[in-house]
Amino acid sequence: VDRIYVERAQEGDREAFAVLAAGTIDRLYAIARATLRDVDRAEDAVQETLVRCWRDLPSLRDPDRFEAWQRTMLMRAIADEFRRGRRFEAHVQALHAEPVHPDAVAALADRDELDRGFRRLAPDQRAILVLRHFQGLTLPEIAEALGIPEGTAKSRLHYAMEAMRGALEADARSVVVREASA
Amino acid sequence: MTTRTDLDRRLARWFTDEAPERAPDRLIDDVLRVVELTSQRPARRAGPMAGAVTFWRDLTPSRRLLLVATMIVATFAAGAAAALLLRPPDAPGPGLILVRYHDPGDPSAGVVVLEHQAAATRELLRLDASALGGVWNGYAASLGPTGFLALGIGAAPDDQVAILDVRGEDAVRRLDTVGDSWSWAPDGRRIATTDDGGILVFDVASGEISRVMADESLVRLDDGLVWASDGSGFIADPGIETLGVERLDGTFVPGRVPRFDPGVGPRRIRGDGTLLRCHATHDSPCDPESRSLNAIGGSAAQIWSSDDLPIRIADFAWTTEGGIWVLTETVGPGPRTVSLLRVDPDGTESVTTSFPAGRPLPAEQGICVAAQFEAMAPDDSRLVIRTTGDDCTEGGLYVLDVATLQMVAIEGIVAGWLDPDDLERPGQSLLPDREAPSAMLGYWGRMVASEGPDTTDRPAWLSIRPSRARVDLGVDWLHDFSLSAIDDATVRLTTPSRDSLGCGTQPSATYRWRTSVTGLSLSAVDDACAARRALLEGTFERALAYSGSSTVTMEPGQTYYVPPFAVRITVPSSGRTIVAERDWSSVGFRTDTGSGHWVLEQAMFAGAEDSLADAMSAVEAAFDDPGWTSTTVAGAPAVTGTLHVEASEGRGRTSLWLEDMRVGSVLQDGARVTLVQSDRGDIYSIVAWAEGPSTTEVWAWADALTGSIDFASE
Repeated sequence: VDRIYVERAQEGDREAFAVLAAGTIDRLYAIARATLRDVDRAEDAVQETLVRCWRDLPSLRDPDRFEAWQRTMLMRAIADEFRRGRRFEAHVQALHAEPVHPDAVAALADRDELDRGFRRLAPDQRAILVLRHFQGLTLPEIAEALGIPEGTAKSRLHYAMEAMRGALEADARSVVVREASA
Repeated sequence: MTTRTDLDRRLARWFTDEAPERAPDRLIDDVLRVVELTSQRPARRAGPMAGAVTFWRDLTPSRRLLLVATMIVATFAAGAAAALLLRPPDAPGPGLILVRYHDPGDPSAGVVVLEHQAAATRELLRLDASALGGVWNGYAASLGPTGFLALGIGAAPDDQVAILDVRGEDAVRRLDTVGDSWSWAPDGRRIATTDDGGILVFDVASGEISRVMADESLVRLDDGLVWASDGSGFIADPGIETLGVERLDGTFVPGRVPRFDPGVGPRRIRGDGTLLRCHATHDSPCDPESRSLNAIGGSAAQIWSSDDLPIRIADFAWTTEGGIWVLTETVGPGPRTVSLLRVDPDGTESVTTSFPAGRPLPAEQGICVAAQFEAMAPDDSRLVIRTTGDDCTEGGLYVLDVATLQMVAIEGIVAGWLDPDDLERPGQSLLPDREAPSAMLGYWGRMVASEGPDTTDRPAWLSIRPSRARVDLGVDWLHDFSLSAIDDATVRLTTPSRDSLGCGTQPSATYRWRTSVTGLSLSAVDDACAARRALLEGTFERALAYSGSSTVTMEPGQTYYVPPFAVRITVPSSGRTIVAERDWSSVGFRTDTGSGHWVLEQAMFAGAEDSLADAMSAVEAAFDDPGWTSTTVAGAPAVTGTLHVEASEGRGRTSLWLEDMRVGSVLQDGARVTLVQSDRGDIYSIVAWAEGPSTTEVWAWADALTGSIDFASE
């Protein structure tokens, strides 16, 4: 992110902010989608994040920290989306190409298994797995993004992985039992 | 076997594969349209202590050292004098209450409550597992201002909060709740925790639960929920520099208010409501480059800075007098030295003591801070500090006596502080109500008539916990009641203040109950609310636990409902113990035949498999027929239901996701077909995609399935 654009946007330059928003929106959207697993809510979270960024940008002391600051805003918006309650709605999302052959079947099953497990996790557990394994953030960066102490981030990551592992094992167990009885 | 590294890799690959390359174009347009109409908030002004910071920055390094040395000597002298004057050697301060759980993993294990005073620890209370519903683990403890403890315990079938008096005068009360930490209200009668939907407040005496639906940003403070001192709500930090109170009625009142201090965690909010945090603009913890602390009230002000010292901030808190405690750690690859600094309100700074901590991880310095405040005595006489070991491993837990600077190692979960006088004083009773009799506890189900145009009966799931009952009618229809036993045959049920049943003017009702081979029967003794009577009166059959994956002990030969399906199963009559495992489409049993041999039995719910399998052919046909819009498929014989299917067309490859549903999938030639089933049991869907320039999207759903599976006769 170009510091000059941040400084200009801090002074109220909407065109500069448009450049900043265009440069970061794809990344924000990917994080929100991965965490929320919901297209509409991801869009809501990203829009809320960017509007809050614009509104509070003059308060940012160090323009070089714009990206981390924005990520913190995003995680708040995602948490707010979770709090707004679960919705039983259908959403449409884009899929990548999926060639039809045995390997693809296995890959698809793997994805679905991961998706089932991930959806069982609590919102804070989802968030920390996305930041760690999708965004590749370090624990201090995760702690900052989530507004929690580093020790908490570390333990939360540990428990999130344990929960994910437990969900996958439960899933696998049910398959084994089914096969045994078949 | 799946290894830890494997899962890391799988997750990373999955996230990457699933990630959209771009956000929708209209999203940036929407954002910029809103931005066009939105004004920016002005930047903050410098605070009242900014002058002191400037003064410090203007000093040369040698003058700073001289000043610090002078301050240290002066502060030690003043501190020692104050300690002698203010604290008679024999006067005990507040006792630190610790909780230890015996041997995690041992089903017979219990809980020990201890008081740490000076260098000695004594046992206050010991409870075995049976008193706490079969504790298998403990994970949190919180002491209230009137001497009651809230313990987070893992107990069958779900986690609970046990409330007990550290004086051992009252029986244990168990609350069915969520959350991993609880905050006692100043009145010592209510505890609060958070969940996805906001704040939950439990009235311990009545068992009543109320939910505070907080606005967009709830409580952002590191140390969790902090009650306002008048008990009206919680200190909240919902935006940049906007402190206020999230009140119990759901409103937010901006402005600083005094907080209630339980003495656990770092004291980040001063008595007058001013927040202390590392960053002026957001509430994240200190990063490795942080060298300053900020007071956040109506505005932000930097109140302490150490720009050029080779240290970083590990933790920080207000002193009781409005100054600050700062834990700093040295920077470098080897073992770290932690220093405890005290900065008085007039800016006088002193290093009170230093102690060692482990070395940081070599590759990622700063992942784990060297030390943190675990608790602070209400009079600041003692600080509880947790250190980190080498490479981010667990270190030790220590009590630091601020007057003598002695550090004593302790073990256990820190619950809070209790005045010695309170230990001798009888506690007020929080437990006037009796818990539900054990025969009522568990899960029950029956069919009830649907309201409105849909005349199909639907399942109602009743779960009864020691202090609570809940009726679950499917999507978005949950009715909670607090419950207490009047005698062995009758119970009182009370609807919450925000009652969706419309019983607000008649909140309490009395019901007679009895159990028999057919289930749990409830009959109203005194209930003026017709809607509640319609919901509760009648006989409920035994059901399995509602949760998606559960293991429960089942009575041989008994018939159970299986939520979320309106399906009954009858388990075999032989065998010593029967355990059911259930997932989205099947139920299974393990029967112990008595010789150590376990028999597995498993059944797929035919409604989930057969009906949808039949529907698949219709779905596939739909791909070849753009004009196709709907069809109906008959249900399978064992479990009946009607499946509705409809289709629509879209551009590109699309898929359909249903929030909060479980998804399984199979791959068909040229199309992906996914079975989707609601957790709630009243939506069953299949979703299909066709590859190609024009994608046909099909969505199908079935009504709630009904039927029975009899394992006993097979």
